[in-house]
Amino acid sequence: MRPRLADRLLGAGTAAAAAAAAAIVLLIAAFVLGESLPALREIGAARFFTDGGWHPTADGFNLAPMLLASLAVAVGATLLAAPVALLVALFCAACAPEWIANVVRRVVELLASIPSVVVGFFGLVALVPLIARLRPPGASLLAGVLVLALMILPTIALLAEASLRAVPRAQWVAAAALGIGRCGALRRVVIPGARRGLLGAIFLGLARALGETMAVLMVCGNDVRWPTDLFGPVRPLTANIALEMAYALGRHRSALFVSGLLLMAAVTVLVAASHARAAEPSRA
Amino acid sequence: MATPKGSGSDCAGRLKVLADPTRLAAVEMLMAGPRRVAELHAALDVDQSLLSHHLAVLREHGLVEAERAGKGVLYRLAAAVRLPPQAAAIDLGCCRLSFAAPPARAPVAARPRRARPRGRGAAGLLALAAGLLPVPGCGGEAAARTRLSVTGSSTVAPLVAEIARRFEALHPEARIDVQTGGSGRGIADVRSGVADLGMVSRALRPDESELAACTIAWDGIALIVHATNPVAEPTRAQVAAVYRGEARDWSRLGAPAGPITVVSKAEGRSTLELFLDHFGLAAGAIRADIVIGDNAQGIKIVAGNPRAIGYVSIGAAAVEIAHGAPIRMLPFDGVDPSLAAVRDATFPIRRPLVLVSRGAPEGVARSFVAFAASEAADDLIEAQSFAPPDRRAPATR
Amino acid sequence: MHEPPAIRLERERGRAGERALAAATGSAAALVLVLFALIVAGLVQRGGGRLGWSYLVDAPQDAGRAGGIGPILLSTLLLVGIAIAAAGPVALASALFLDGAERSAPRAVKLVRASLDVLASVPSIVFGLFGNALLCRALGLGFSLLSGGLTLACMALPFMARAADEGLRAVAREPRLAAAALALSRTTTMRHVLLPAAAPALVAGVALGIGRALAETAALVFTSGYVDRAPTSLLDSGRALSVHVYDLAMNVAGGDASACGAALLLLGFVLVLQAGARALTRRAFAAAGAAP
Repeated sequence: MRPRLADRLLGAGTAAAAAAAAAIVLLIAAFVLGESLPALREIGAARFFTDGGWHPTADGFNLAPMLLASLAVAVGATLLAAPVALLVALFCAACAPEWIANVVRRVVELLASIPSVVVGFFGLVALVPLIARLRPPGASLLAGVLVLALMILPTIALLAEASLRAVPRAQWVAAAALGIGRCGALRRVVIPGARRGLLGAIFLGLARALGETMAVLMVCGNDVRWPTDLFGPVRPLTANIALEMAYALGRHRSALFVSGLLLMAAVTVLVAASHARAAEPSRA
Repeated sequence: MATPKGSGSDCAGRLKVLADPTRLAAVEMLMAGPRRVAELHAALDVDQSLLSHHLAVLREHGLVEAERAGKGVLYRLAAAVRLPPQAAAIDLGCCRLSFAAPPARAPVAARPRRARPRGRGAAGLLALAAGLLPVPGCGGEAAARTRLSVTGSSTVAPLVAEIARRFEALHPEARIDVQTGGSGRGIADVRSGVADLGMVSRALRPDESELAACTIAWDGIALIVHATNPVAEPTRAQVAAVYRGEARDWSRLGAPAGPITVVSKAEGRSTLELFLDHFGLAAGAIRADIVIGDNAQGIKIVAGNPRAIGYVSIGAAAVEIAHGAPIRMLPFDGVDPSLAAVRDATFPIRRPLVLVSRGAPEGVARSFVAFAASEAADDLIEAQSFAPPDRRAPATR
Repeated sequence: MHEPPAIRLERERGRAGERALAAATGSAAALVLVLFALIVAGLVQRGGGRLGWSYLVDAPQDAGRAGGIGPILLSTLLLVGIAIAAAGPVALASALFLDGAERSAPRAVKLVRASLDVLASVPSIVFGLFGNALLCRALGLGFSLLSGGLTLACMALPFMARAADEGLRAVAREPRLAAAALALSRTTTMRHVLLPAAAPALVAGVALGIGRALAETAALVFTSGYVDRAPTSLLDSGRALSVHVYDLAMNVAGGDASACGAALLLLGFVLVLQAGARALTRRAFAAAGAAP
């Protein structure tokens, strides 16, 4: 009798926790939707893509360039950060002696805790002037990509390493028995086993990049224009919200929430796509 | 049930709230039964809006409740506080405040219950957290504190926080919480009663005139360029042309050729509006390369780009120049930017830093506003790189 | 023993490939170390002079440009504590649900995973506004450590849950089958088989959560607030270290040096917190993994 009760409690408890976790995002979505409704009603959804530009005090509400800027910066950062992060994860999980791996892991953990404002600060005082010397104005899409890559690299690396280390020992042992070295075992044996986790890590890095506010605000230039020029300024949606929220009233404020809604919608589409494509893994 | 404010409606806090003749009289009237606002207004000799303010405070501290009744609002003592009419007293939880006979003894504050640390090891952490949890019952140890809530402009916040620190040192019973959120938030919070005072980094607009405002400092705005940029004072028209995107090269302003990197502030900022005003520009006409949110961001960008131009707070620029930042400020209308010039208004591009309240402030709020506007705060104002008000002239509202 | 040429070639190619991989991963790790060193050097150069014991315990003066960060450290510790204490169990329990319901409720599992992924991408400022509306206003907590900590918990949750999820999913089939063959209840299986096996991933999850909580700025400005006094209760407003760094770097003129000093201290703080969290987590799961 007792084990079954404990099991039922466990089942109920975990289900409740999972439901709560899922509910949070629904609550946030409802909140953002609620705050966006006035603008959606008054301005109409289409104008957020067709208006002449973003001039909220002068009745211009085109969000499209900013949405594209968000995507460009985030995707660029992920493309840059993911390979490096994966290599670092491999290094710590397999290709290094224990003590070196520990040191590197600590450094990655520290990097993960650096406030976005500090990364943005160095982007502002060191990176932007450097780029400006190449091509003004310096605060640009490129600066945003580089700074964001640095921010999400630790996240991807830590998650990826967790996935790699979670691969059962049996597989490592089998690889050793076949005479394949620990580092070489990765390609054939371990990475395929951890592939789903690695993809998940990259995806979460992308998601984090889309949501990052402070660092991009400081280095992207924040002029609203289409992200066609790598060295030109862009304004990601998150920077827009941060810049204008404190001073926006009424319709303007509601329009800013529409941009938040847009971002969440874009991510939901990305998530749905990635989940649909991922094949169901078989247990090792 | 009214939401308790801040750290809980402790007994001493409630007594402090009641320590006002109007509020005490209102509570005494309500002891006999519910009353409409109009009745209270007629019986008590105070302004209608002031009465509403008092009632709101009483409501927030859980002493009275309000409900809509027909055309007006009906007030009654909160259920938790109410006692049978013959008691002629109200129940504050730890003590009773009696209006009937001269008090035989003063209300007694009970000692607070404190969570006893139990267990060992990591449970000690739990005890620490438990000790920090809000404790029910009356606080006897902490002196009765008056809590003041100030929200608004993040430009003004560091200054007000420093003034508050000094004020708290002089008045140990006061506790002033400063939060940021923007000038608009400050005004909204004061209007809705969430905050006692608001911090606003601009002059009030006509539709905000119902708020009481007190200028505690001044801030000026100057154009900045890189220290190596030899450009002389540009004319108003030249600056307007640069910011409209019509003049794109420094040679147009008589400086060595090179593309101009235009730095401007985000829409809605009072700095931007001031700038637009003085240079005759419309918000939609600006073509900027970089849009910033904070002064420091602008300064760092101009310091890192020899061909950039921007506009920031004079005080902030002065401090950074003193710290060695490679920028310089440009004169305007022949006047060199400086805090002294801002103070006596010879430098025209300036804005007031203002504390606002709904109606005239009272009690601690009034003392605090007076303190902030007085000479006692001047050194703090200068330390935060603003200009104190010119005390030779009559106080500006 | 005589090796056939084919196997020898494969082995050599394998070794070359292994060397290349080792070189690549080594370079990546070196890059990370260099970047980190550059940042730390930059911080030390600008703000190193401010550090000292009094800096750790004194209250801020002059808008943070003088004095110390004692009260702010306390607020930060409480914020992170609340965040991890709230998010950790929920993350673990969610991951356990995902692990257990993989077959019985696949749609629910997909929905929960997708929700967590979307949650990870919500802009931090939206979290701040949401936290402000829900916790500070609707629930009446006001600007407080509790509001800030719970908001941080929401932000850290998806990362911690993902780490736990990966750790549990990777637990091999054999131990599970063995547990089933022994007719162990799900609870026992969890305590003695799943969790110990997933322990490293769980530790990584906690590290990730702490990192996320400490690095966050925008959300805290709207929830735990700006007050730099030492908090006397969890309902008091308190300034997080990241908010302090932001204020000094961006809002207070001449605050760069102090911002960098505070940032350096933050890193030291992280080291201590991570070490402590690691020790606690390992001990908890090692104890769980002891023989039943």
